[in-house]
Amino acid sequence: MQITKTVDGSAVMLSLKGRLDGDASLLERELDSLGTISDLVLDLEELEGVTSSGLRLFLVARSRMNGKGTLTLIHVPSSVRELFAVTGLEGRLNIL
Amino acid sequence: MKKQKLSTLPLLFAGVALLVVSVYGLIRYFLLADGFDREVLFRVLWETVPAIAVVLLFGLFCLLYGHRNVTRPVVALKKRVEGILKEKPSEPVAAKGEIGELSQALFARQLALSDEIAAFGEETADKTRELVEAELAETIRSNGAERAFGGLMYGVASRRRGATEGADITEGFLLGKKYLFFAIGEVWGNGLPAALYALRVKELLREYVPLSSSLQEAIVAVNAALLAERKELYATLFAAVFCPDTGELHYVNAGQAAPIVMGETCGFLRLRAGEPLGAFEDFSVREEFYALRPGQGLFLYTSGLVGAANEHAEPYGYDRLFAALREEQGSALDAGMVAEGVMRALGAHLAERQPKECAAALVLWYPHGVQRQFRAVAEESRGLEALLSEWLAADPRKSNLSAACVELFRNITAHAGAKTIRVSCEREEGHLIVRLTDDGEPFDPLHAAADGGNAVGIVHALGGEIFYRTKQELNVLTIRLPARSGL
Repeated sequence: MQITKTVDGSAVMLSLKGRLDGDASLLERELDSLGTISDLVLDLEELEGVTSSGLRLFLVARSRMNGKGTLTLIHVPSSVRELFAVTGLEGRLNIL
Repeated sequence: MKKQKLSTLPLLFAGVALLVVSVYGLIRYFLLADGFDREVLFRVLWETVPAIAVVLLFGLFCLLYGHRNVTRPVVALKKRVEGILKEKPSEPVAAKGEIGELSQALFARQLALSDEIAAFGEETADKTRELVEAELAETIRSNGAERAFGGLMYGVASRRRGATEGADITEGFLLGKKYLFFAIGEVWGNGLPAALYALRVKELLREYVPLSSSLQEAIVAVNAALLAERKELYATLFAAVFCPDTGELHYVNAGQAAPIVMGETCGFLRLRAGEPLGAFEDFSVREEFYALRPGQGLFLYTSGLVGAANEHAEPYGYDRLFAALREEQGSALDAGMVAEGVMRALGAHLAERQPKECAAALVLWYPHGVQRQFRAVAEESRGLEALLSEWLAADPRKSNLSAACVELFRNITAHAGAKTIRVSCEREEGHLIVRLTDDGEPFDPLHAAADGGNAVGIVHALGGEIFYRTKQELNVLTIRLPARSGL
C-alpha cells in the first residue's frame, strides 16, 4: 500500500495505491496524524482491492471527520463500489 | 588499589627530594666547617630549610593535583565502567584533558548501549507479544469454529494456521425446543483485538437473542451494545432462526454477502444489503423470510472463503464454490459433509498457500424425512425401532423393515467399532430410503454372510435393494424400497 498526501490549506487528499488490507496500518497512521482539517478526500483510482480489514479504515476515516469536516471518496473502482453496496457503506460514505 | 598508588607517588617524590637536600646540607656543612661551627650550621640551614619547605610544598601540590585530576576521575571512571556493565546511565565524569574526553566518550557509549539494549528489549518484547497474540487469536478463532447440531447444522473454519486478518463469527444454539438460531459474520479488524471482538459479538448474541421478541430487535440491541464499547472495530453478520418442523427461515442481514440456497439448483438467498454492526447509531435491519423445502439447504460463508487466492492470485470465487456445492449436494449425507467438502475443495485450490484472511462456512441441512443419531450400542436399537415405527406409520412393511434395520444396526455395533450411528429416513422420488451411517472401521455387513444375510433377504423380499459404500471415512448402508408396497 502506498499513500500520497496532498495538502491544500485545510484540505487533505490521500491517494491510495495497491491493496487495502490488514497491513494498511500506514493509512491508519495518516488518519491519526491529520489534526484539524476541514476536508479529507480519499482518491481510490489506483486501489487494487479491499479486504474486510481495509473496509474498516473507511469507517475509521469517517469517524475521524465526524463533526469536524467532510470525507469524500473519489475515483472509486467498480469492484470496491460493489463491496460498499454489499456491506451497506454506499449510503454512508460520500462517493463522487 | 590504584588510588593508593597515585597518592603515595608525590609523597615518595617529596621524600626523595628531602633526602637529597639533607645529604647536600650535610656535605656542605662538613666541607665548610672544621668541627662544630655554629655560624656554618646556620648558614647551611638557611640554604637547606627553604629548599626543604619548597620541596614539601611541591609534594603537597603534587598530591592535591594528583588527587583532583587523576585519582578522583579514574575512580569515578571505574564506577562509570561498572555502571555501563550494569546499564545505569548517570552523568559524565567532570575532568579535563584525556581523562575527561575518555569519560565523555564512555558516557556517550554508555547511553548508546543503553538505547540499543532498550530498543532490542522493546523489539524482542514486540515480537514476543505479536507471536503470543497471534497464537491467542488462532486459539480463539479455532475454538468453537466447528459446531454441529446432529446432521442439521455444521460450522467450520479453515484449518490453515497463520491467517491474521479478520476474525470470523460462527454461532448456533437452540431457542427452546422448536427453533435453531444460527449466525455467520466477520470482524473488520486484525489479530487478537478482532478475535476478541468476535467473541464479544457471540456473547452478545447469546445474551440478546433469547430475550428479544424478534430477531430484528436482538440484532439492533447487539449493535447498540457494541457501539457503547467504542472499539473502532466493526462486524458484519447474517443471523437467522430456523424451524426444522416447518422449514421456516427468518433472517436479518448486517452487511454479509448473500448465503447460497442449495437444492436441485444452487442460487443466492434473496437478501437486503445491511450495514455492519458497531458503526452507526441509527442502525436498522429488516427481518426477511424464506421457506426452505425438504432437500434444500443453506450455505453461509465469509468473504475470506470466496476471496482466498492461490499462488497465481486467482480467488476461489463463486464459480468454484457453486461447483463444489453441486458435487457435495449430490452425495453428502449431512451438513458436516457439505462444509468439509467445500473446505477440501478450497484447500485443493490454495495448495500450499496460506491466505491472510480467515475463512469460515456454516451449513444448514434440511433433508427429506427424519434424522436421528444413536450411540453405537445394541440397546439403542429399541430407539431405532421406535423411530421407524413412527415414520412408517400404517405401512404394512413396518415390522419387516424394522427387523432388517435392527439386525444391521446390531451388526454394526458388534463389528465396526463405531461410536455413533446416524439414521436418516427419507421419501424421495417414489422410494423410501433408510440410511445407516456409522463412524467405525470399514465394515460391510452385506459381505459377511452370517451377519447380513437375514437383512438382505428381508429387503429383497420387500422388493427393495440394499447397498454399502464408504463416504469420507464413514460407512453408509442404504436401504431403498418402492414407496408403495406390493404387499
